Amino acid sequence: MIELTQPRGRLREAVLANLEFKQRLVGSLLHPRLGYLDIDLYGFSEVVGFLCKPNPVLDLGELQTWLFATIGDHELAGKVAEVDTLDLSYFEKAGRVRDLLALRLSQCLEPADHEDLS
Amino acid sequence: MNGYTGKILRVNLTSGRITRLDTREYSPWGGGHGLGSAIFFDLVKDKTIEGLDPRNVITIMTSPLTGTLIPGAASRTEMQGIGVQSYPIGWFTRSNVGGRFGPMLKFAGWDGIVIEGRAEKPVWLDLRNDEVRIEDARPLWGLDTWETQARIWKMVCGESFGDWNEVAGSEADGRTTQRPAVLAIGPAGENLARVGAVIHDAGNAAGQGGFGAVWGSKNLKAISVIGTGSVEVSDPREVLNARLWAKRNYGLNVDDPAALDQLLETSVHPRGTAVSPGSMPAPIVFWQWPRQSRPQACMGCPVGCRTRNQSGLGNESSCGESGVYAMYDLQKHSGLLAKAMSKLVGGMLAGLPLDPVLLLKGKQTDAAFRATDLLQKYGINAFEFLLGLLYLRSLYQMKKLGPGREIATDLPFDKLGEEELAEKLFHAVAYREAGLGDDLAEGFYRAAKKWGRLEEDLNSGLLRFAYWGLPDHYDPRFQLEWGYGSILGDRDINEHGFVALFMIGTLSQLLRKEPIVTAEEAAYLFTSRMAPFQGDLRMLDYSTENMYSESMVKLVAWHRRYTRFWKQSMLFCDLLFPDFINPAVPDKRGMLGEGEPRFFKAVTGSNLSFGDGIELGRKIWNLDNAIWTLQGRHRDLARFSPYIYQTPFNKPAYLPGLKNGKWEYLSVRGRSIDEKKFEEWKTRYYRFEGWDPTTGWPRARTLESLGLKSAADELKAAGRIGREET
Repeated sequence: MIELTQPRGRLREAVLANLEFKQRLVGSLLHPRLGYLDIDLYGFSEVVGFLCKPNPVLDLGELQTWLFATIGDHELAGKVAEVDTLDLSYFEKAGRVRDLLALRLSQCLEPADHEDLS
Repeated sequence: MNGYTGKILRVNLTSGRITRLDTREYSPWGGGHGLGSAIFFDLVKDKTIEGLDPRNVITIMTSPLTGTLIPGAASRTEMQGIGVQSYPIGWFTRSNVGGRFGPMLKFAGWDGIVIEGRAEKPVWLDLRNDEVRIEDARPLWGLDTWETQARIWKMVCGESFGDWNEVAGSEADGRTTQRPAVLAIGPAGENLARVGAVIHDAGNAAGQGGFGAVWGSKNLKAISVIGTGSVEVSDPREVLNARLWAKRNYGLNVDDPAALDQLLETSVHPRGTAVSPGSMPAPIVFWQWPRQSRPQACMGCPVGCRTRNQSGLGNESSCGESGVYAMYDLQKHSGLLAKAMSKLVGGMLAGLPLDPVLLLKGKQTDAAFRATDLLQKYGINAFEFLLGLLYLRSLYQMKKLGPGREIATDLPFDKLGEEELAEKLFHAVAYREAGLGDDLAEGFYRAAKKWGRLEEDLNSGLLRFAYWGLPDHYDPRFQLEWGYGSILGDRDINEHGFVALFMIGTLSQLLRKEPIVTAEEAAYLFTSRMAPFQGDLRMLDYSTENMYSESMVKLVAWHRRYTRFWKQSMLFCDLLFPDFINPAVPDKRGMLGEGEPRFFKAVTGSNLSFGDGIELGRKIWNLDNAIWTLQGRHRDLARFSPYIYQTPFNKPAYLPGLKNGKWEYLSVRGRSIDEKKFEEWKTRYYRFEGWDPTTGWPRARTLESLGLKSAADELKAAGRIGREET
């Protein structure tokens, strides 16, 4: 079961914000025809979208630092750190981290956003 | 002359003269690239000319296997000439296109086409079997590549598409239900954009080298060919038997799902990559596969690496082309994903099964497909934009690019991922609109130079263009033979023969699964067949300790030779050959070394061995180096961009190597190329090839021993022959 405290205020804004160049995270897609294709990630939702792609490679240590320092989500950074210590393969960890981030993203949406799809 | 038609079309656009070359004169070069290099060398007297000079000669060559049933070798066409994309010199270079142009050319009775001169006004070539006409292309000028092809199809076939048509006006000349195969340039080529490509059908592109611009400079809009003949082969039964042999022994049995599942579950192998005929056949695309689609293959190919889609979007585009805009599309529309998630779970997600991958499906919009289609229609080199857009986005986010900024543009980069930006940006490039469009038409390297950013961005790696002003591909810091081969040549080699090692090593680590072969097995599997250097296991040792060694010299030399002959002259497709490791074979030993000469003999009747082909590849490689030397090549030019030397590669990368005397997939993360040691390695390489290590120029003795005396003489006359070793 995934559990995260409901975010409010500044944290919610940070999760939904577009970031500046120096705040970005860089992920890389591992692909047999290219080796690695770098992708700049300028926001939380872009990180989630990136982790949904096949073979996403993101340094989980860098991700923890980014969540802690750039987004200010100490709780989530801690959860990612917990995942990083598990005896799992990198891609299994990346899948769990993706689920955590996806949960946080959905928590941060306004009720109005939910209604958009009705 | 089995496998050959016996004649090569020669068209001088300046004089309008149409003549023939006898293929027999050049057939010792094999086909494809070998033919092209030899003809180019003979016909271009001054090799120092620029790509847009009317004296530049373009060769478009098939191989004896083109138009036959040889798997993965029936369809490709090699294009060569002096290009305009590379920097600082537009090297004599090559590109390659699949589809059905090559086979149709053979069916029309031609082994290749040589284009010389420059037409006074726009023209297109109309080939119908033996009949060749230079037609007025003014009504086509300005049309995109798809419109151009459609117009030509109508002009040649009329409206009765798919019905029986008389090809040259009389039934005696043959009838066909096929439409012509057309190579065409779009507005980018017409406007001499260095990123101009030549396009065939929907998504086949000769993208590298800037040949679109070279065609544009010659006022050549398109070449259309339709033929009703066939290719005579030495042993038709053996051609069929060889194909069936390959299918039964080396092809994945897609009719046995259990075996397929087991293969995918139990070991790491380059699944879906089709670097071997035994890999799982799958479209190689970066976007999400449209639900309503089917595989599409080049003529004669058993794989089908791209799709045709019910939507009509993104047809035939694959690999990097499909990746140019796909991620931006997803990023731009990630709000849809988030909303979909929250709707599904109603804000109470904890405890519920969450599958964002499933949620994401279907959220990609048409923008990714439409952007790629625009590149194909305008005739723009997609690979430049694959990394180039990443660079532009960085500059935009850095507030360097945008309205009123250092790199001023009104293009709406806040809409990256939307169709609107793709349309405006690619239009601006294709039509060289003043400002950003005109700058990017020169390619990203030259644009960065103009903006005064080149040094800073190559130092930092913000601009990931590793060699010759061209975009990085497999990074030279870990995939050594790729980087070394590219800097010793003329372009990103784009040859995937050894990348399975990286994929197997890296995926097995990231997935914690057993590799399909151990590092030691890989070393044996590969090197045991790398004639004439077989047995030197350390050719496969990618460790940092071995990366500047004599064994690495042999690896690169072998790769240059193999690809120059078997891949680029015989035109075996990069997606299937060389078949080193084959997941469908119990001992994983692919058909490399056995398949190539068997297929070649079935078609031509020649007993050319695998090793003979490697040696012929050496000859072609030497001729190419002689041409580059005449163009101004010196070893001091052969340097990577600074970030390759200065910045450690910082992602997981595992390749075979020796550690304490034992083979394993070693991590090479954190390494860069040591510039001094690489210069020493170059010295070793030049010596090994019999070239002058002080300049990299070929020596007369080496060239003459290969039967290249005319090249030696020309280099001597130009004062650019290598000094003999004392």
